[in-house]
Amino acid sequence: MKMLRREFIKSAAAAGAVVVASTVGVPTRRVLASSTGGSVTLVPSTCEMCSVACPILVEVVDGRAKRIIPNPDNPVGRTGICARGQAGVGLLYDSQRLQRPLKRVGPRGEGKFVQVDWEQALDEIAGKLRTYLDEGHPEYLAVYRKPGALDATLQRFVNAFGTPNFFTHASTCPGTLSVVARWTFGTQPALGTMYPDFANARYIVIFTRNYAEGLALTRLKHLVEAKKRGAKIVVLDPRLSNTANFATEWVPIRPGTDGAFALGLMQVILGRGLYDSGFLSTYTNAPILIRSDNGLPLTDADLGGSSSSFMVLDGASGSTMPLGKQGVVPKLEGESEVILKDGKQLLCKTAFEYLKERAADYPSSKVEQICDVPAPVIERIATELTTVRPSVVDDGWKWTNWSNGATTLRSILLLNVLLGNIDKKGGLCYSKRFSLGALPKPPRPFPDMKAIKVDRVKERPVAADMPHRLFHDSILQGNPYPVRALLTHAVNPLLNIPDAAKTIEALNKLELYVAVDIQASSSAMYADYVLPEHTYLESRAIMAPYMTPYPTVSVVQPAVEPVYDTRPGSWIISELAKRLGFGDFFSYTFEEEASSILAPIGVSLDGLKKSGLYVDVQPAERFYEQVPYKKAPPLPLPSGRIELYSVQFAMAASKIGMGPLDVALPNFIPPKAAPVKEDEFYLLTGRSPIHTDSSTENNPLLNPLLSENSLMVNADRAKGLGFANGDYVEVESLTTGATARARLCVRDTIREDAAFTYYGFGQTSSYLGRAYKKGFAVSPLLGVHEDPLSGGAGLNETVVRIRRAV
Amino acid sequence: MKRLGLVIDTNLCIGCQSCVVACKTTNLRPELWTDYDKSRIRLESAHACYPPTTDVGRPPSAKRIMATIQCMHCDNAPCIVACPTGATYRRPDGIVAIDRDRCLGCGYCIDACPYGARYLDSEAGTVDKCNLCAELVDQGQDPACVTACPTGARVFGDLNDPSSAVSGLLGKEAVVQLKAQLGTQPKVYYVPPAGVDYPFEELPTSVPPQKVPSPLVSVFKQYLKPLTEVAVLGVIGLGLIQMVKSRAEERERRRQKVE
Repeated sequence: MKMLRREFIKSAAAAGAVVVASTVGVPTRRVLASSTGGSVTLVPSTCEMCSVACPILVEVVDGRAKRIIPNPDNPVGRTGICARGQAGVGLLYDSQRLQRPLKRVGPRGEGKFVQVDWEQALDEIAGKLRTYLDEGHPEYLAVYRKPGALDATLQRFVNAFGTPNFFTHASTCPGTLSVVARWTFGTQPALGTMYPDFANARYIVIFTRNYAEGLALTRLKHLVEAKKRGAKIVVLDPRLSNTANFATEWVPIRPGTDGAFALGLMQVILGRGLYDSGFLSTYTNAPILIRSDNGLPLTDADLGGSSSSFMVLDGASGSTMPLGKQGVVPKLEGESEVILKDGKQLLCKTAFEYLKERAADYPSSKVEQICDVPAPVIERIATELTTVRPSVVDDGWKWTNWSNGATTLRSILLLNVLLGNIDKKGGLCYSKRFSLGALPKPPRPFPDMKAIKVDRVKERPVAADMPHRLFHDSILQGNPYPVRALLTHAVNPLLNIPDAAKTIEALNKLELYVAVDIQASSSAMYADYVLPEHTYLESRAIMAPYMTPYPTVSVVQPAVEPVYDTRPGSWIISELAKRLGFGDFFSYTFEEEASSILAPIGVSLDGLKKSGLYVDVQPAERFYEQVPYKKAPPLPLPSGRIELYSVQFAMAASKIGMGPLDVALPNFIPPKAAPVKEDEFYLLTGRSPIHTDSSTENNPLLNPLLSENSLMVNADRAKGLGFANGDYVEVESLTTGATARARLCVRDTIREDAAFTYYGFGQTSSYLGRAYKKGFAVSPLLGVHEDPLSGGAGLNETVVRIRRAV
Repeated sequence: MKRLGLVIDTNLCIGCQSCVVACKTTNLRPELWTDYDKSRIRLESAHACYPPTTDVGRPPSAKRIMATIQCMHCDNAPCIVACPTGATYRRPDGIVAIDRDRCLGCGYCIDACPYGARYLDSEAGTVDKCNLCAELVDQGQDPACVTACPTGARVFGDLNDPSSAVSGLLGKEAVVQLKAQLGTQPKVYYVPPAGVDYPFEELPTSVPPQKVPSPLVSVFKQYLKPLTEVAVLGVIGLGLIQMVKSRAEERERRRQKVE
């Protein structure tokens, strides 16, 4: 009994102690630390969740990539990373990712695949591809990819295979920008060749670009700096995008009329003489004489001379002289009656005179009608642009949305030229780049390529890549000849190419379709083989990020061991090459590749692996006023100067069925279609900050934040049609005839003539369970309205009709 | 003594939800990632329709209100009052934290919070909310959301330090607290959107009315609990006294027997 009582008391005391302890507030808490107790490493790398390629650190805890944070050693904006960048860890471990090679066993599009091993997949693919080599038709293979870390490898592959059909998504995104920048500023066809210096500008005008949603973090951070410093930011957009919301002023411009607005600004600037005449006469071809008979530049040869030089009026003597002749300071304004070599008299005026005449056609009263923006607003913005300095007009990005994209962008870029802010602090600068090395030298010459790339057609002499023509003309119709095999890397043509019904027909016609990707996309459902690539968190590359002003090089290195049975993209290409008999073109190691690329700048791979990136943060005196002032003249342009008058476009005019002055000078060409009836709208598309294109909608971290798109329409317009927020409607495209079912999101903050939706939804891959059939795809609705200069697909020129869904 | 807090500038917030993803990857296990409601932070009114539905005014001077809602780390926190076990408590540096070992998952605190800052982690059986990444803060780092924000809209620091960035903002900007009239004394401040006629301080809009915990909870914590402790101590004490007494009696009895 005593024992029992003692035991009881002991245990009661113990129990009592616990009760006492927990009720008197003595915390027994365990620190809920996510990264305690294990080994933590921070791996510097480069993000590939979009193409901006921000520098990151991957926090690896006990061999698992836990989270991704910004690399604080990034000198261009130390803090910050976006939602997609951090969602890389969601992608890495997602069981719905591609884990093993797939081989199709059912009809195309049904998504019936079996898993096969790498050897079998590669052997069979190479076997099929070999038949084109044996038949002497390597051009029947096309490779369509998103520019990225694998670009140089893929370029070498197509060169070694002997096919010219190597495509980017240019016509559905940046093609117009690269073409217009090329022929205005002399930049190589590439991305991000110009850089608006927001951080130092006091007045910024942005036409439709959406930095706050289609996040280009470096530029966004500079825009934030501008705002913090009190700069005025004006955003023109048919809807209140998050960028227009961030800005100081939102101008709800009529869709597709940005070109007229730019000309309206130009009319005020030229009319009041508020342009930099010194810059124009010294660094641009504004002074060149243009023939009044055909709108083309007057040349020395026209006058009976021996060269093809363009001609100018000498400021001192007033006589006609070749451009670039020593000691000649050309007149900006003026005209001259010249005697041609055949004796005829011809009036010629300077390009600048013609520009003034063009701009005079766009008084603010007329622009008000075209753009639906009050004239006083136009005049005020023009005044502010010229008086609040430094000022800059953003160069934009996706000018392929409209068939008039190229002429619109010419007008916009030339606003900067008139302001004389080129490569100046707070102006539109040339991006400065490293001259990096190439892949290790090929062991032997590439085969001769006899065929012409399928989109190089007479009527589009200056166009960028036109992947829509690859699918709809070549693959589908054999025009100019049939591409029969397709290899894609990191692209989703079913969602990204307009007129998806035609794209599906084209995919069904292919003899071979190999999709190299990280996920089984909607397009991959039509593939014969789907080859799973490593994510960037498992692979290696050297990258030259293009969205920064400074020369930058960065590394991609593995943070973890591969999660699934995937392979590096470079290995996949190299293995195919081996089986096709040109493996020797890929016989270098990654270290040798890196060494070759980095050699010209004296940066080591080991150094890059430690720091993640190397940026040559050029001080002001080395960054500004380089091009064309100290460097590059003559520029790689017909006149050797920044082209106010685009000679290349003028020469192309007859082939595209337009007059030289229509395309050589800033011009406004109205969109080919417009909403007319009361249930018709332009279908505008854009990006959200949650998703990258169509690649992240299934990501476990991002999907819950935005799992489907809705169709945003104006509240008054919706009410008039009897619709309320959340109603389901049927959207019919007047261009393609396709229909889609969409949920309405009704707002005041979008113009009445515009309907807007986020791109990337309506996915049809059963492998992507979270995104499967959520929302609606725009690619079946959007039609092609081709930009005759750049080949841009003119996606948003599509008019849709909306009615209640059954 | 530190008073850690946040200042969020809605004029710099672009609604990119980088902070939401930062918080999830830093603090939540992957099983919780796909559930929108299992989050310590959210972009106000963004779930129903993205972009957020708080568009105010008529074009062209319309504005979209961008603000995140998370624990306000109130100095007069209704959740601390509501919690029956004391699992929710305020650290000396001002962070309101949850001791997951003590939390019963009763949900009283979820009902009590006027900001809807808390959620039930049903699998773990406990409540979760923002703790300003206390584990990172204790190592001298910023909360994950602050590091991630690409526009620098979120500033973290010691409100008691006059030289801190947060103190600077409090001095310079017309900062507000949300639902300040409730007397919660939040330590998260907002720079309200400029040039907008909108009752920003009444955010968030989608939280159900707060349930004041039954007075019995306070009675329990203020009186019954201490009484119980006294009672238990008393019982133990009496028991010990009784034990000593009966030993002494036993010894006495034995001695008497021997004699």
